[in-house]
Amino acid sequence: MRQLQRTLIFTFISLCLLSQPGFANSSASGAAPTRVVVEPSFSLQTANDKEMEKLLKENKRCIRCHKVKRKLKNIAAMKMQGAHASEEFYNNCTACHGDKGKHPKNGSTIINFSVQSPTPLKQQNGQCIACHTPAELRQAEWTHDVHYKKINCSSCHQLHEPVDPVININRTARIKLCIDCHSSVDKPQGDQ
Amino acid sequence: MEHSRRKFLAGLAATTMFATVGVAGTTVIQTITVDGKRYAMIHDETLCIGCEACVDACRETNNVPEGVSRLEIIRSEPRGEFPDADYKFFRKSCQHCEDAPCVNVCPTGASFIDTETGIVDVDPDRCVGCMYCIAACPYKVRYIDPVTKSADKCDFCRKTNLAKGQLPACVQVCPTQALIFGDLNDPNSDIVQTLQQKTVYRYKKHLGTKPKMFRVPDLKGEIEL
Ligand code: SF4
Ligand code: SF4
Ligand code: SF4
Repeated sequence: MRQLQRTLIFTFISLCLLSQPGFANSSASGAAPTRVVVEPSFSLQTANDKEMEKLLKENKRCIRCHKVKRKLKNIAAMKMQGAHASEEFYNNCTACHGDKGKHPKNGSTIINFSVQSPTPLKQQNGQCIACHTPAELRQAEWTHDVHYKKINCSSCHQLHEPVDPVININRTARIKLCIDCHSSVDKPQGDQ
Repeated sequence: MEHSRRKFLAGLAATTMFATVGVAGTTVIQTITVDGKRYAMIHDETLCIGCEACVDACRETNNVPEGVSRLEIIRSEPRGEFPDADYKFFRKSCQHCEDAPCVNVCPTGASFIDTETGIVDVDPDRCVGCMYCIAACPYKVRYIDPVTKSADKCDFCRKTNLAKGQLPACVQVCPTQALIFGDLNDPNSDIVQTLQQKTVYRYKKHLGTKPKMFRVPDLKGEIEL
């Protein structure tokens, strides 16, 4: 009995400790604690060797097909470079795209990042902010705040490239990006 | 002559209409310049996306040197929390006051109101750089041009685009049509039509400078009238 009590107390304390980082994060930003912000580290995905094994296996399955061009459907060969690549995890496709599941057959649950993607916008962007916190996003570029719910992140960002081309674009190119989408068909208003 | 007089009277009637309903107020009637245009501008804060295309277009068109600016778009602090946060934008530029403190204090007559257009402008050849106007302007929009050493500010593109028969550069480039430019004396102008349809405010109107920069407030936040 005493042994059981001790175990219970221990479990309770460890649970409190475990929930700390998430709690601290959300209260620091002053926001309602809507979601626990995960550390942007890939290693958090695996808790033990068994999970690690599964992860590597899943990723190898992706690469097996996607390392070459799929000719029939004209799908380019995939190469993962830059900030999102991870040698340790064989490119770690699953971190963002989810497990292979039934893909490429019907009923696949693969998460696809594009405007045409069957994956709902909310789910696509949700994958990104699992690592990139709203505070970081706002600091990097205020326009994240006003676009997050409206367009998918991959409309502006390219995530397989060595360097995302949209990062550090100059002022003129940035303004042009705004104008490209926001231009209305009306001509300027006013008279001489 | 008769025709333009009729047009003017019609304009008077039109402006009376919005004077009674809008923030534009009775000052519009009292200060009409009979023998000229009264150019003014609207910044529709509900349409502005804060892209600053206007800022760059102004610099390019009017050859404004780096380090100074005729036009700024001031972004507010975020309103609300992610992912519902948004921003408010405020256009900081010359208001082309009809009772302009900068003109009133200028000892050399370099700062003047152009009687044909109502535009407040500076003659760089007459400016001695005393900076009285910079101190007097309640909107803090004047600077000393590092090249000409004269006071300068937005002139509604009077010497550039307007002289070529075009709209001001900022108006031309704005992707969302947030800027509307035109003659307050012309009842058919886009600007008068818009003033009749939308609620507007003018910044620091209580100072009595009679600013001709109208703003459509983004009502999600409070506004400073
Ligand atoms: S805003 Fe300033 S510079 Fe422009 S007319 Fe008024 S007082 Fe003069
Ligand atoms: S009207 Fe002309 S000078 Fe004034 S802010 Fe616009 S572009 Fe610049
Ligand atoms: S160009 Fe138009 S939309 Fe862009 S900041 Fe200027 S006024 Fe606003």
